[in-house]
Amino acid sequence: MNEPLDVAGVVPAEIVMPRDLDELAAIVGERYARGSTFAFVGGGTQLDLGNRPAALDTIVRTTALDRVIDYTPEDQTITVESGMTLAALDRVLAEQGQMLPLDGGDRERATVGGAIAANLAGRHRLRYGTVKDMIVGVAIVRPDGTPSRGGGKVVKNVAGFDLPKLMVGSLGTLGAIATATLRVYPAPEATAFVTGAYDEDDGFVARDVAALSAALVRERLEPVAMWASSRPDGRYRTTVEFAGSRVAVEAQCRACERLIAECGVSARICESDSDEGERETRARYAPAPRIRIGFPPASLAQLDDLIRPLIDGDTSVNVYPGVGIAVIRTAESVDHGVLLAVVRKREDMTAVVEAMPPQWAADVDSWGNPPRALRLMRALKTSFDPRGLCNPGRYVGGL
Amino acid sequence: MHAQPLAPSSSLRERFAAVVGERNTITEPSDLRTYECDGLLGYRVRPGVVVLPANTAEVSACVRLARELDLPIVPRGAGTGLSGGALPTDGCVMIGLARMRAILAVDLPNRTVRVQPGVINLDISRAIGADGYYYAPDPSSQSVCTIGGNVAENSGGAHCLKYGFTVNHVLGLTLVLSDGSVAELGSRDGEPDPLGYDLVGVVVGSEGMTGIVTEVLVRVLRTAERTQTLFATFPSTDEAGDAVSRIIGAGIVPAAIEMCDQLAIEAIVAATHVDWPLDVGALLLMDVDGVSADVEETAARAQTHLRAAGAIEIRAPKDDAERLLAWKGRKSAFAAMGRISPNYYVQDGVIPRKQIGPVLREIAALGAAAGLRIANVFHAGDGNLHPLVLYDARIPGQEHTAECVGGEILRVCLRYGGSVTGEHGVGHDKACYLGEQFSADDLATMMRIRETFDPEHRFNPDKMFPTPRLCGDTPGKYVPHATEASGAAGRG
Repeated sequence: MNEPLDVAGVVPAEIVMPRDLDELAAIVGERYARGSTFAFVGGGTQLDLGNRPAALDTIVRTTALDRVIDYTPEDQTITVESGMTLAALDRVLAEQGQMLPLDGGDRERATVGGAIAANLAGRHRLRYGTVKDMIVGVAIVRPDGTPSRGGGKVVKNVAGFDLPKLMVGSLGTLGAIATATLRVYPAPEATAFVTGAYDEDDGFVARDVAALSAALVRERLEPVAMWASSRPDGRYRTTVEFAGSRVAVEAQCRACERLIAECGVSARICESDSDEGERETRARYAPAPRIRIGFPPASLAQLDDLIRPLIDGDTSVNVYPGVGIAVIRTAESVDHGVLLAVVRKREDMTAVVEAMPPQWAADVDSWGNPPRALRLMRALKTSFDPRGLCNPGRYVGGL
Repeated sequence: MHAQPLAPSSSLRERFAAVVGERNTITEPSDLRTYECDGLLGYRVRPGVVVLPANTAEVSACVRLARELDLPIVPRGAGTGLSGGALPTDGCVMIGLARMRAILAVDLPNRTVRVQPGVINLDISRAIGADGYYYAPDPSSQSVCTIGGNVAENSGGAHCLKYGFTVNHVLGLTLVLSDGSVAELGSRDGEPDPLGYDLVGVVVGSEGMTGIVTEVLVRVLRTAERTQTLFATFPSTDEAGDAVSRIIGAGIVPAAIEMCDQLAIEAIVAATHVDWPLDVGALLLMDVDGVSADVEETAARAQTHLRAAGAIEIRAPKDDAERLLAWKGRKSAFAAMGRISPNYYVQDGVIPRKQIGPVLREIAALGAAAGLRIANVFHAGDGNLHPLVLYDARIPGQEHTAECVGGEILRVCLRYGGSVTGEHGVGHDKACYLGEQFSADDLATMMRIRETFDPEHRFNPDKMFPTPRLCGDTPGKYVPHATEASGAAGRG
């Protein structure tokens, strides 16, 4: 029943699939006690993220842990097991007119636990934030097999140390996420896109993309997303997405259309049934090699100056200006080593290889320069996993 | 630093004065009294010395010296906390951050502001308000409480319903650890997704037990295009609670929904002279904000739900002055309690927000059984209750009864699946209840996180984690505080 699976080319001796939370704890505790190394895999959509594991005896597959534990639509909270797919969660919430505003990813495969561990964040983070802003509680299994909870089921809660936040983006190095309680939102009544440079003969330069982003803030519009996608000629096509009540979406689309016109670029309003959203998702989650750059939002033009000489028309760039993210799918002709080095030299930028082709693995670090607080992170890892058995070597700084 | 460290034989005062200066070293018993408690006035412990460092280097030197002397350290901001998070440990070195009140950098293009921990919450919004930006977390004490304290407690406020808590607005921190070393955590200049574990997310809300925060990089927001306030009165808290459930259930996300019950209204009207009716059972104060078109439609929908739930009267303030007056009434609620009771004990618990009506009835029954009145003024939109148990400290035993009622209220919150604190923190006050919310294994995991930062339990050693100590035990003999004896402050 288990398909073959490897993590960055490392094939485990076994793949086990716990059927419930007790079994998850028992499996983890037993492997830890006998000194086996293990990693947790949900849908397996993020296995390209992170470095090659130092060792891997067991993959614990969480996909059978797919139940809704508690859903109270009136409270806008839901508690689910970590192996539930995002698509299944979307369907449960949609029945009540609600949604988890965590967009992106391969939703039919990606799981809630994986999304938390990898800190999956799509374009809607501009308005709704990231997993950190949605997670209110978590149950985990520590590497030694001890079940442990943090946070709770209510939206506001400051009791105790914030274990849920610690799990976000920890890439399964501090234990297994067993269940999560998430804050959910009403599904918007309407969605629409305003695209600048819809036609190929028009385009934005990076400074205009930055100017449009600043204008949206200045004019107090509240888009749920804004992104710019590069074209072979190096110029960008820019889309702004609005969601909410029909009347507010319409008013904002018209205002946005004017702002784009002020940049000297033609604009077109597309309704929710257009493929603007899917286009973004396809480009954002393009296959390897894919590099994600984080930068202070106001440094967009600087970043563009930095990388422009290093890429060519075959390299696709997706920029999220209000957030400070650029996702680059490098062409084979690009020297990725130079590109990574140039960005990683900047103390205010990060360059994470989100999807690494196997041939890079030997000489490229997924994460780049260790963060300033690596000493504390190492101490934390040691405190949770003194024997170093839980997903060793995959994470930042060799953790 | 002011001078070379002195010989170990020197007095405590001399040694710390060598670091922060004579003026900023407090050891006189009469001066130390100010620091014996925070907003939880019922407990006081005298610190050994209070030091007021001016910068990260001085904080670091103070921590090193305290460690050399093997003394516990308790950090303190403005002392407005309500859970005893800044209650001294006997003979401790208290590090007060009040002198570190510089706004270090305003970077509006990146929508960040870098501040020292002693900066008053509201001063951030004041510094950038003219440009149309503000700092979102708004505890009721925001005109006096400090960002450092907000970080320690993960402070909330009325508008956290839509905008999130302190933890959702802090991007980066500078933290002095228990060995005196300085750690830089999180984002440096506003770049997203800093690498590695989210240590910022852990330090925010760690109640001064991970280290001393000496710089904070916060995210600031653009003010909304429009804000519409609605004020509605109801026959009782049942109908008001039902209105909250209907609004949230209908998918409306207001910026804030606050509830006051009859007793709270009485106190607020007496103290602030707002023109709220006294013959109602409860009122809701609600903000809807965003782009103009949305606000109009959402406010109209909200009014429909308020009416359907049985609102007696609905008002929409016609201008900002009227709007701010209503909010001033709400934010002065705790202080107003003095008008109706000599003393009060503030509780802070959370319940699922659809359960407001039944829980408030249970709380009223607890008060009635104990012979004490309970006023309620709270963040209804996120189910964060603030029952105020009213009592008279001059009547022997009544204070203890009030505390017991407060404890029982927390048990009710837990029974409904809630939490023992939504924004005030566990601190000293609720350490014994944390063990009722979490298992021994849960607490052991939290202890691992704490000990990663502070293996020796140097910082705020006796807080948050339950000890065998029984609830209600006092760590020191109660002596009235100077402000209390003079009538300037009430206990609670």
